[in-house]
Amino acid sequence: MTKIDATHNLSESAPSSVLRKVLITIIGGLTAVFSIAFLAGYTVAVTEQGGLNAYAIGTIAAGLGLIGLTVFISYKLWPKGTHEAVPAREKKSQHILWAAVVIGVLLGGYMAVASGDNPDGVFSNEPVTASFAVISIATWLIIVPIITWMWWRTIDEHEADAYREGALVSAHVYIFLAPTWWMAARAGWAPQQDPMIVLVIVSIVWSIVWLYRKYA
Amino acid sequence: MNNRLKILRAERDWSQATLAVHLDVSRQAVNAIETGKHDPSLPLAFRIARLFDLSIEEIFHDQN
Repeated sequence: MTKIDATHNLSESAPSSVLRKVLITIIGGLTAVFSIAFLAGYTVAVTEQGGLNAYAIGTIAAGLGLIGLTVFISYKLWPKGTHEAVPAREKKSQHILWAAVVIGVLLGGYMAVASGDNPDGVFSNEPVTASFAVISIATWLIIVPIITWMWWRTIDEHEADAYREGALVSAHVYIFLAPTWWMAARAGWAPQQDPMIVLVIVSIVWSIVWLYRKYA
Repeated sequence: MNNRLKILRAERDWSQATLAVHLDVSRQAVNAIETGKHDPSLPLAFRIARLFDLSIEEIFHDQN
């Protein structure tokens, strides 16, 4: 094998390592947020019901262990050692995405703790306190748009195309899903439409198309 | 659209990552252009042509 072949093979295999990083971040992040939500809810419930016993402490320890295990497995599975040069634009884009992930985890963690003994509190429609609403809305209306704008100005044209295609497909998903669910609910065939569930479905489709078009 | 990007890169012993740094695009973008999954914009096509000191037509040509 010539040197040219070797470098070419390295570059051909590299995209899968990036996809691996993305998948580890998403799966690890979700596991961590759900574990934190479970731990917060369980701890509050146990405390309110009369204190900690050995079983409760064991369960909390198991929850902490799950978080630790998630971090450990993520670290072990994280691709290492390629030492490839990364374009300045790509580095900046990655930093912005990491900032978004950190903000998402912090907000998710805060929601988990604020939801107290309700294990489904993070994704429920239960009432929240005014301070919690202010923090969430301010994050969504001020910080997230700034990060999105910065990221959009940083990415290259290939990623922008992939993101636009994701937007197009997910817009069609919304156009077909929302009226169908609305009409089905009016006919009594489905529960009332939940806009957050629609948002999650649209966002997932958008992300799948975007990542597929970028990395596949 | 077909192109000679992979050949030109190999002649210079560059990896996709190296070419990506020269063009300031992601490695995935270079891969997509090489495999014909992404047609570069005119500004990027000019950057590629200038990098290899060739005209755009010498690097990119349509299927026919």
